[in-house]
Amino acid sequence: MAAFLLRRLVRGLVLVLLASSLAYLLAAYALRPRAELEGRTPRPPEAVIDAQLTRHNLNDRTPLADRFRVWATGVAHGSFGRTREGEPVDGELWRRLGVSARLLLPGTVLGCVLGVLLGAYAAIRHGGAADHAVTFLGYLLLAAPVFVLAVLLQTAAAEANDATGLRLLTWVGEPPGGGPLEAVRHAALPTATIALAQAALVGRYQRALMLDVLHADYVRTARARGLRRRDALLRHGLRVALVPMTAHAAATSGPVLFGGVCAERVFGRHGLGAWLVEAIARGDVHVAAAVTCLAACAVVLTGLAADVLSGILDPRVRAAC
Amino acid sequence: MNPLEVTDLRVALPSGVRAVDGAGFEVRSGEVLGVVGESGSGKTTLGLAVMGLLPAGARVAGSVRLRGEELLGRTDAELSRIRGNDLAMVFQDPLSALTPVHPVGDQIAETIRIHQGVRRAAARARAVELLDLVGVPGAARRARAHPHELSGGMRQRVLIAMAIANRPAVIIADEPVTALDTIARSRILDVLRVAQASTGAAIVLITHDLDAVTGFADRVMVMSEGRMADAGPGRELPAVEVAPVPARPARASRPVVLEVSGLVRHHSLPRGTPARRRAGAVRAVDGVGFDVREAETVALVGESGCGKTTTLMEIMRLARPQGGRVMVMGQDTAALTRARRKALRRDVQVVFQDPYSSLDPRMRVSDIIAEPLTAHRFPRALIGDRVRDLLAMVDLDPAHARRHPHALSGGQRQRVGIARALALEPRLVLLDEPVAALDVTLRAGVLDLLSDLRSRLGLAYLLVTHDLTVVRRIADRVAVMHQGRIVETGPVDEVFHRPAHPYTRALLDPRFPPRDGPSDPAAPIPGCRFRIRCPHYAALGPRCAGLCDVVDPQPGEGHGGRGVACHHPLVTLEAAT
Repeated sequence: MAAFLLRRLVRGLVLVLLASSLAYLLAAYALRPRAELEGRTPRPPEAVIDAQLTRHNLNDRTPLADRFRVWATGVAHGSFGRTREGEPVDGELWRRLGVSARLLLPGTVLGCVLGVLLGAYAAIRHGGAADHAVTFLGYLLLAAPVFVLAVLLQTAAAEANDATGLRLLTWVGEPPGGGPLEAVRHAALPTATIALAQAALVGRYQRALMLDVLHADYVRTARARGLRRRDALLRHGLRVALVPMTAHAAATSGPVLFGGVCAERVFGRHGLGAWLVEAIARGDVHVAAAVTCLAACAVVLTGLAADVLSGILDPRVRAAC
Repeated sequence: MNPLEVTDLRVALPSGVRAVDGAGFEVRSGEVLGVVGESGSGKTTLGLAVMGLLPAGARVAGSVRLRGEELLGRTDAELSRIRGNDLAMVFQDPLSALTPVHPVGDQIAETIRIHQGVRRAAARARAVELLDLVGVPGAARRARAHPHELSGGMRQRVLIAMAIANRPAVIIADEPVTALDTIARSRILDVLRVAQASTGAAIVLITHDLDAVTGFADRVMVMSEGRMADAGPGRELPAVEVAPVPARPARASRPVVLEVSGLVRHHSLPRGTPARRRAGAVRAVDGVGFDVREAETVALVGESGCGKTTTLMEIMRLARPQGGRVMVMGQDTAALTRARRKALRRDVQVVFQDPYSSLDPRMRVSDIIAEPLTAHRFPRALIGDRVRDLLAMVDLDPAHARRHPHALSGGQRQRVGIARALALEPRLVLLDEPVAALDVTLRAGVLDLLSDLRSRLGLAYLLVTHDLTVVRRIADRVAVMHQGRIVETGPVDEVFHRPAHPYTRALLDPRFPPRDGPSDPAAPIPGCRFRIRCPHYAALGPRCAGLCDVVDPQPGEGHGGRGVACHHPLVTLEAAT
């Protein structure tokens, strides 16, 4: 298992290197930091523009290969370069990573748990009203993009605030300080948004997996040994049905990151996603490359976590690798 | 008061089928009741109805009394206190009846903890004792193993250990030995007997196989169309009649279709502990040689794990083997070009064991049968006619062509598999347990069809099976395999009537079981590989046994095409004709 994980880690590293390099090359090729400087009034002299761009390794008149070499050397030494304004990318990057992680992680974990439970519940009640309700809700959530969901939740919360006359929930920005209550008030809506979207993705698949084990021989054996139907399905059925779920959950990391970008915009969080969108709009090559690199790391790490988890859940996986 | 009394039990399944229609029986303490019936007779539904484990939507009427208490109509919560405690069940398929992700010891311990409320450690210790009782060697170690690490026979023992964990009054065993080979089968019945003796439980043994209950059940009832009738005491049932062996044409004059010599297939061991890594390879097939001639059936038999299926797969690859030589229609498979290999695949076809998984559920029967034809560029215009001919050949209705596999019975599906194999008019057909997944009643039909096709089309069959009745019925010659080697070959009636190798006799006759012994397929012992398990070896004097210790016997071919790999055969082969 350890050797297997090591191989996966090495392969993941190669993937991250490739993804980051390609992201940099694409950004450096397509984004035009020069345009913004040229657009200033009064327009700075050509030599000044060139000097400023060259200072930050952003000059499109330098060959792409040379710029890439400088950037890659910097990354190898732990620096993602500077923004167009000359600020170091790194400090801001880690600060915003914290913001994004606080926004995304609780929602994702909560969504996975909720999805597994709802999916399993729907499967156990297969064909019943509860199953239909859960399935309908799941499709509804899947059909609604994250930003629509976020805006709907905000509207609902605003109505609730108005109706009660209290500011029960607030959603714009990070909590300015204050106790854990303030943090919860701020986090509730964005977390719910992410969690619901994730639960829909996970739940539908978990329901299908659970339906497969509903009539499994070992569940029947467990009942014949004296477990109640519900216990047999949870302890023996769900446990087996969770194994393929790990890989599926890891595959949702892409949609989760995209959902994160939308959620940051809607809830006014200054996280990585918002930063990436701004960077692309402003032609900030190094920021775009750095954020993409982190996203690649996140996807690879999620995959690795899924491998470990499926190894823990299923002895046959441990034996096979 | 009898432990279990069932009166006028009626079950209607959700599909509306009246699976059980007025069945009744009772068992006394310590008694074994055999319930025999063909598939569809409702016997499995009967077992599930008694346990209260029928699918949702099934309607039950009548009465099931356990120690005088009525079980029908109770809630799941009430029944769960009885199930596994007073009333236990052993299921048919040991491969799927255990949860794959929990260690088997924990699953037994769970059964104890549900009902007895003992501590985890105590329950685990008791689980090890139970595994020991049902004859699992190295019980303490095996308790920590997961189901996939145990053989089918061992898993069946685990299921029995679970069933007796709480000393139930009644054990219902549904086809407990059907999935096992002959040797494992008699062992498991012994284990059931031991388990019964130690708990005094009444056993209801449900099976389609009269052989399995003969000599085991005290009383036998026959189930048919949901009703039951007494068939008298089990120990006095007559032996099942063996079909007469048809006359054999002269063998030497027929051309050789398949010739295998010195075939070797070793699987390198998976990366495990360093100790195992050093051990090298599992010798699945370790020097196997035999030939198959036109219009004959050669059977490879042996316990599960003896390498018979691997041999078949190696032949089917039509590629260079790891060692030895495979000649198909006189062509060495090691020297084939891609084009020649594809052409040769027309001549070698295969029928698989499981008709449920070897047919694509999303294809129609006509497309399944036509697939090999399209793959080998059969003229498109003629495919329709050819498919109709093939369906008629395997006695299927032309209307079946438009159906999907799920709308066919097991026997019909296997006929589709046979039609597919015959589509390209092969000369050699490899049969991998062709009827193992079918009921006895269906088996006869499929086996008759295979015999009939062989004589009509002049086919040669290589049959792999653990079921000796199948061998008796359709095979001309038999090769008995043990640990990757052939230990005895010869004409079926000769070998079966006068087995020369102690292992062959053990397969044929449960009165001469092989001894338990360490048999690690990765590290065969020097000398005769069978000697650890050989019932004869122990009785030999040191002078005779010395030969077994040192020299690995080879199956030479003697008179009448018989050969035996034993230094001290049970019969002298020279006398055979």
